[in-house]
Amino acid sequence: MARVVVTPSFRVEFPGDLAEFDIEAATVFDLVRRLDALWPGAAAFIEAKVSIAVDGELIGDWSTSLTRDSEVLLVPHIAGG
Amino acid sequence: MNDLSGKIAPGPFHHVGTRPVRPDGVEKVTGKAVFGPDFSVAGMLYGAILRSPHAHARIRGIDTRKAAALPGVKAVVTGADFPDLESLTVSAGESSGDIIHISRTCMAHEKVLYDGHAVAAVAATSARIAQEALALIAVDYEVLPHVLDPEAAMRDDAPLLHDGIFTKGIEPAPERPSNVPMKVALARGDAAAALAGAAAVAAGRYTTEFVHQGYIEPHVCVASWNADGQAQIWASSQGHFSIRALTASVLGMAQADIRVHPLEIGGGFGGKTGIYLEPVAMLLSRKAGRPVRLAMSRGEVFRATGPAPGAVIELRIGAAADGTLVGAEIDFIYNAGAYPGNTAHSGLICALGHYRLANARITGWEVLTNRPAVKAYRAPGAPQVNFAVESALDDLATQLGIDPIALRLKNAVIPGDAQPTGVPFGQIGYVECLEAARAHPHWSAPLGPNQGRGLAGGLWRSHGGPSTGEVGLAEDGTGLVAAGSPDIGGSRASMAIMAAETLGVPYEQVRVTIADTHSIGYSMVTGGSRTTFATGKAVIEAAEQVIATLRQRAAAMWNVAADTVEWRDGTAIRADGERLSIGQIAAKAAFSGGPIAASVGLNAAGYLPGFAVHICDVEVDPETGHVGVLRYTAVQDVGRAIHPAYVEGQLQGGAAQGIGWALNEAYAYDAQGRMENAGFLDYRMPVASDLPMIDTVMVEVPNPAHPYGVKGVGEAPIVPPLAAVANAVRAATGKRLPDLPLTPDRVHAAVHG
Amino acid sequence: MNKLVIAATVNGDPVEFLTDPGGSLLDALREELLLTGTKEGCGSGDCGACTVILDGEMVCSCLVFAAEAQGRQIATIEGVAEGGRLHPIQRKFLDHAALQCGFCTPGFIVAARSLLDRNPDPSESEVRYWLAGNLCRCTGYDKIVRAVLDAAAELRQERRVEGELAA
Repeated sequence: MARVVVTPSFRVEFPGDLAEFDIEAATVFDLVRRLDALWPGAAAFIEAKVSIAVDGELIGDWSTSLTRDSEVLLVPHIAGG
Repeated sequence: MNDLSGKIAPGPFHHVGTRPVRPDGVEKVTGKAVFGPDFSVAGMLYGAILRSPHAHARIRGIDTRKAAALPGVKAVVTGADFPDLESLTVSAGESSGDIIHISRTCMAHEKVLYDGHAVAAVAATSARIAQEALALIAVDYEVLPHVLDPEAAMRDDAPLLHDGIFTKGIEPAPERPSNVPMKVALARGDAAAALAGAAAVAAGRYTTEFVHQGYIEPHVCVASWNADGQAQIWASSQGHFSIRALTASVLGMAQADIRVHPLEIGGGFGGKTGIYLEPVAMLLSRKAGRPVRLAMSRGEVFRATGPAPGAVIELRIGAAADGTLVGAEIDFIYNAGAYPGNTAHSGLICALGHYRLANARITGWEVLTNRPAVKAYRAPGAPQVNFAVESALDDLATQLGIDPIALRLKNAVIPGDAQPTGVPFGQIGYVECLEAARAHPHWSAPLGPNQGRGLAGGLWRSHGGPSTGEVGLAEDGTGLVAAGSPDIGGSRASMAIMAAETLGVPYEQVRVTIADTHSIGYSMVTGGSRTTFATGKAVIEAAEQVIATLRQRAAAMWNVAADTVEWRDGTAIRADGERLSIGQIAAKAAFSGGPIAASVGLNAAGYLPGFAVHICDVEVDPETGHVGVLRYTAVQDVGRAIHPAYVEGQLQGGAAQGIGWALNEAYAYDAQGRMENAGFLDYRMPVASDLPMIDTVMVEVPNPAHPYGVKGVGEAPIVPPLAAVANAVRAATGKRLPDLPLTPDRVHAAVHG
Repeated sequence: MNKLVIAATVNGDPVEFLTDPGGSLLDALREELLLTGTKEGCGSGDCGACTVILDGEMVCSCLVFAAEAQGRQIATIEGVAEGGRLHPIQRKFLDHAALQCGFCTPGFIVAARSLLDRNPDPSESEVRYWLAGNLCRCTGYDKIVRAVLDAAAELRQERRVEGELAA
């Protein structure tokens, strides 16, 4: 079970204003697939708006493995100018 | 897999940190460089756009028959010519948006939402005929009440811009649509209790107005859409891949059917990361069967592109007697114009990210009004809230009798501290910047009558993301770098420096091309302070792959094992000292395996935020309220300055924009909701006589995730100037002015009020 | 409405071009003569990107009717370098990194040349006020001013040397 932590800005995007939850996933790709299955549209939203951090580091490669101790942060992909 | 990431190359360097002339320099000082408006193609028609004179109206009908019949008119387009789209959030430049909104920004469909909103377009054999044709288009508007002020737009009785927007982030979810797409909130600890127990509390209500990026080159493109569905677009932009993706989405095309050629760009600052003209020019071109140029006038740029949001910020921030910040409550409203963006997220993250603060409650609202939809403007969402926080910190420092730098040092984030997102900070340099500011002679220079000094600090989270870099060798061994990142401020020079450094060859032997979308793999936009970092990494890795190939080829030519061949200073060296130069190896490439080149596509991780500290001295004329900037120093942690002159340029340019934002710039509207100052005369940006020399201090705390230690630098410089100037005015006058811009009439009223 | 035929001298060369009666000199230079080095930033004379020299005077070419150029001398950015040799102002702009996007640069170089032709030893303040009609959004003007002052110094030195040689 990886622990997913949703940054405050994004709690509004999840039903029930979720702040933290556990999910079974082997990689980040897997995680996003499962989120999309639970909440249709989540994958598109994450691809467009979210940066993902695993255990404190922002990662660009979604094949990154997850373990039961992994903490996944969903943070805003902030617009740059 | 490449094991070279995560190791900074040790110095000393031959090229990194030097100041060579940029490779595109001669073209730019002789007028030869081809910018957006300079490009033309055979058979080109001239397009023009009809724009709404109303801030809010329903379009009942558009009659284009007379325009279409005018001799010389070859095509007419309205919103009806755009494909129907399903709502979809897409990446748009550095940000994201709904493709339906992006489409309607290019051309209105059922409603116009701001003065200047595009309604119809024509293409004709001359610009004059195109303008005449516009006058022949009859639009039947049902004018609606409009709203410009965000607090007014939040009221239940406000004119409603969209039927389908329901506020996210409030419980229970609203049943009625509103002008409020989003509320965001962050809470940690107990802010109210902390403030109640604080030794000093600074409170205020701060406001900022819409400002524009103010690039001198207006938007323009040439589009040519052929009967077989393939198209070419020539445009200046911060990202031709973004143009391709968004245009393809809006028009329902395959991306490979659009070839976007990057022209030189005359400034962007975030405002040229998306599309406005391209789909319109494409549709005109398809109808006419000829290429079409569409260009914006300056007035159109102001009224119908993407300024930065205005803001209302209320905050209370409290500290203990020793200056430790104990708590903060911040409520902000960002006025996002006609369509939703990501402004609320930015404000939330950027407000207090540079300080440790255990107790904070921040609530933010994004609100829509009948103004052009906002876009990124260098560190989008940060300057506004930073202005409020850094002004309040200044007031706290005064209340507690603590030096402003000491107060900030006491609370500054350090490596390992958690960011508001929860991700811990890496090798950041806010403390180093504050110390450099304190040590700078500016900080202790004497001041005269009516003069005051202000200081402010801030941060901007830069970005990495996907980029492609290519390095290849000509047969004589000279180097060619290709990148897909438009050069808006000297990045060609940085790419050449990094490639030359890596290869070990002279700087002049590496030339850089910005390749079009058909000729190189994808790169994300030039923006978000990402290019030297991410595209740089791709170029460096490609150069390293070329070096590996060169060593193999030399080994083959010598018939030795490749791992016995060293590469140094552009030369392969055999174990016994025998050498082959890059030119000698390249000359035999055809016989040793083929042409030597490498392409690297990567998603650059490990980017770090930039921190900036600015010091500003002003002199206020008590008779007129005029604020003159006497002296300015911009300190920033830049990681490592690849080309110091262009890094200094980013610090100076961002500071100048911030000074204009603080003192003079604002959108003004009349009672009909039309912009009154859509030109450079009355939208007053700083000129050379307004500013002193801008001293820069580049603090280098290298980023371990980039081979040369690079951190993004382009955006952080616009974050602190607003408060630095406001704090200087406070020091000069004794009055806290919380409403920007600090125009002479406001300053005069405060001084004499 | 018939177009007018205008004969003028641009960068020392005789030229002829067509213009609508209401057309600007800026449009004529860019569209008819294909001299696209001079830029349009605003079309209202407020940004200086269209700066050219008309009979020795610095003007915003967007505010000059093309028809007014009849029989007159115009100098644009394309004429600042002599053949392949850059003018000191151009070299100093490059050395000082006084351009980032480069769009305003032609206007600044022409304006700076106009200044140094009449005032070979300007103060920093005189440079700033002379260039106050040229907007730059990228640089904050610091490096531009340094480049112009440095070019002025080099030109003064060149004239001193020429003067000594001539004496």
